[in-house]
Amino acid sequence: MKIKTNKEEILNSLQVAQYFIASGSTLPLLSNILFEADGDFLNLTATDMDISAKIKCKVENIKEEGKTTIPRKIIALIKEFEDGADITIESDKNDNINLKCKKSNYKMPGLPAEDFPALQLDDKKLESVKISQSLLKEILDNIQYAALKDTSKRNLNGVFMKFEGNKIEAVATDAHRLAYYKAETKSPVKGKLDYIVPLKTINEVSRVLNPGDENEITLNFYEKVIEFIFPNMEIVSRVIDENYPNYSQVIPKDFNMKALIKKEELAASIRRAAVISSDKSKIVLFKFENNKLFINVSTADEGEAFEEIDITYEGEPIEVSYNAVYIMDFLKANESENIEIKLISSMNPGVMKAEGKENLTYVIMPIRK
Amino acid sequence: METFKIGNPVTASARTILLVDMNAYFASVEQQCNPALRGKPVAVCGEGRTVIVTASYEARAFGVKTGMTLPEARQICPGLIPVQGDLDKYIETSLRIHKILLNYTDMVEVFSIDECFMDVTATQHLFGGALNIAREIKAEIKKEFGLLCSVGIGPNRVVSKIAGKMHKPDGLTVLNKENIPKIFKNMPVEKLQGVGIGPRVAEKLYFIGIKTAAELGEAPVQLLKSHFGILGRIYKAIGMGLDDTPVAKYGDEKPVKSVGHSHTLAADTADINVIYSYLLMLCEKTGFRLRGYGLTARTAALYVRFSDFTGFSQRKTFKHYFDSGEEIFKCAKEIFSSLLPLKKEVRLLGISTGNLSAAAGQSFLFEKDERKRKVTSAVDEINTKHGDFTVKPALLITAEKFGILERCGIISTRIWKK
Repeated sequence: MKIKTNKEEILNSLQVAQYFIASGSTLPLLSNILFEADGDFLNLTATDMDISAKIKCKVENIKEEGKTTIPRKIIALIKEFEDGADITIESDKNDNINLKCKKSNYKMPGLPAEDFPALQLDDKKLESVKISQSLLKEILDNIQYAALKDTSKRNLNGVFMKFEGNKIEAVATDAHRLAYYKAETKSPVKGKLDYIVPLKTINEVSRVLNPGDENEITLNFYEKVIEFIFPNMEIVSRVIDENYPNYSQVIPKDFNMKALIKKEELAASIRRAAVISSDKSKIVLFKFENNKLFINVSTADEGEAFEEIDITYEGEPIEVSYNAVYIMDFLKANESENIEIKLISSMNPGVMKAEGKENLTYVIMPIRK
Repeated sequence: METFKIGNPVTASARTILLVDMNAYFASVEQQCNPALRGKPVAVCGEGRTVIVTASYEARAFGVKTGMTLPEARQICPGLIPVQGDLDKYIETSLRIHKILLNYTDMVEVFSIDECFMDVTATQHLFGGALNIAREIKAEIKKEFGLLCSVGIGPNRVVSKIAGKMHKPDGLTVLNKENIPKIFKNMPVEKLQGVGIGPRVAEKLYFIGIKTAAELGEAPVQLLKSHFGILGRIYKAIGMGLDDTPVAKYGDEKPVKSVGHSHTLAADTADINVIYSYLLMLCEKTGFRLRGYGLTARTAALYVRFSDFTGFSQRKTFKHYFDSGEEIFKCAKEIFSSLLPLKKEVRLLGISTGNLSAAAGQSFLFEKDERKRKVTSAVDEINTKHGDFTVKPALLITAEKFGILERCGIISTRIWKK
């Protein structure tokens, strides 16, 4: 393989590929990036065996078609070359890599492309959906923070996506709080499909998605694999092959109290109040009463915080405690000016809604007294 | 170069701290309860095949040490009298000893079952000085219980502890600004065991040319930091005889740092079913105690001692917190599986949990999780009322059939909270 490229052309693509390289893998091949020069394009592939990304990169000149794998340090190296410089990357039949840029000349050992582990797609594509980049980004960014971040419950370490007709439902939960988003696509699916997509995949897909882009991308569904097709990139991911809990059961529909609150005021009060406690789980007591919200954080020996906010409140006075992190996660994830908190009692799940985001529902369990 | 600072030198030098250390405590209590044992080599052990917990001074003269097995000890001391330990008795006696100490100050911190720190800075003038307090305490404890103790007096905890260990049994040692330099100059670092310098650290210190406490105090911080990390600073402070840790008030609980249990098996075994059953028992006990303290853990550690007395230990830290026996068992099993297939028989198993955090009482969204939590708390309630393992996982029957020997494994400082 021999290619000639401009520094910026290849660096952008390599930096996207970098996110998909396995971290701390014992398999040397997985620390490498697969280079495939074919026709007018250079395809770069990185994988950690659960998720794989193939990035199509336009390079100036493919002098010799071929493929090889190159250690990830090529990214750090190219970064250090002069901006705008031309770079030649060449590999011989023994996968010895040679990199030239102006008067710099680097050699490093690659590994054979044939051994690079490809993520196998199951043979039969079950279904396909088109969705705009901006909508998918909106859905994912509004819920992904609620997913379980560790693997103690594997089925919760991802985002649940359900497609039915032209309806999409997406859910993330860590068993204590839950974020739910429903939306509609232009192209319907024939049957009903649902998948738990690993959180890592969701994070990476969301990073690649362009928020203002109305162009559609394609989602291909296989038995145990999901594929995201972007114009210049394909992401393939295994799905989590487990049952997702019955989320619709835990989203309350009827409420006894309702509060309308200015988001920034609430966020600022909680941020301040949380400083007082060095506990890992910051417990905040909310007291709703007569168009006022009183916020209290108390500790055994570090002091106490009191905050008061003017709100619009309907219902009997109520006291309820929440984990401050759960509240803040929701406030940080959306840019709405006002939020609504709807409650049944101090023991039942509470619901938070963001103004202008009718499709988003956030459910949060209180702290037991 | 970095300047070395620890605490406030004014308050640090102005304090007077006593360490009261009971001599051969368990064995002495037994000798007092049973006059026939007095003046004889006595070893306090657990039930069955456990190791020696404490030996009387008569037995120590033969070389009997804590941690020996009974057959080992009998070889060097044929007349050794083994006595089964009775923790309730020792706790009861300790509580009564505390009452004597509390006559002099309420700043009495229970450090272990047989050691207490006392801060007499504010009260010593009422009793004719710290030395007088120490003499009175020693006399009272001897008169009331027939027990001996060593008392160390110093300007802080580290120094008073060093002083307390200097003369045993029945010692009374005062260390102050005047005599510390001279004594530290001749004190080998391995004598600092008990204030944080373990045998391995001492060995490492020897390796870098530090042999005495004074040399440790004079060593550059950077050198110690490069060998011991953040502990380097603390070691240097020990060598300088500095420490600003306050003595807690009696009854003020120190935060628990780890919760765990260990158990010597009724017989050595390589039967994985028996081993897992014992492991589950230890994990259930540990989970029960965690929940009792209102704590959750993020680290689980497994300790295994084999029939040839070699050991294995490994810890694992998770991203999530847990407090149920089931979850601790899952971690323990995962660690234990690295030992399979077993090449040696197992003699002792130990489980410990760390990285503790207060349980928040966060409710669950889903019925399944919430039901599990309710069952656990109902079982805890029954077992608290009717005794450990009244309700238990069926898997424990395997261990019970094999034989449960000990009543108590690791003795926690929290044992005081009866």
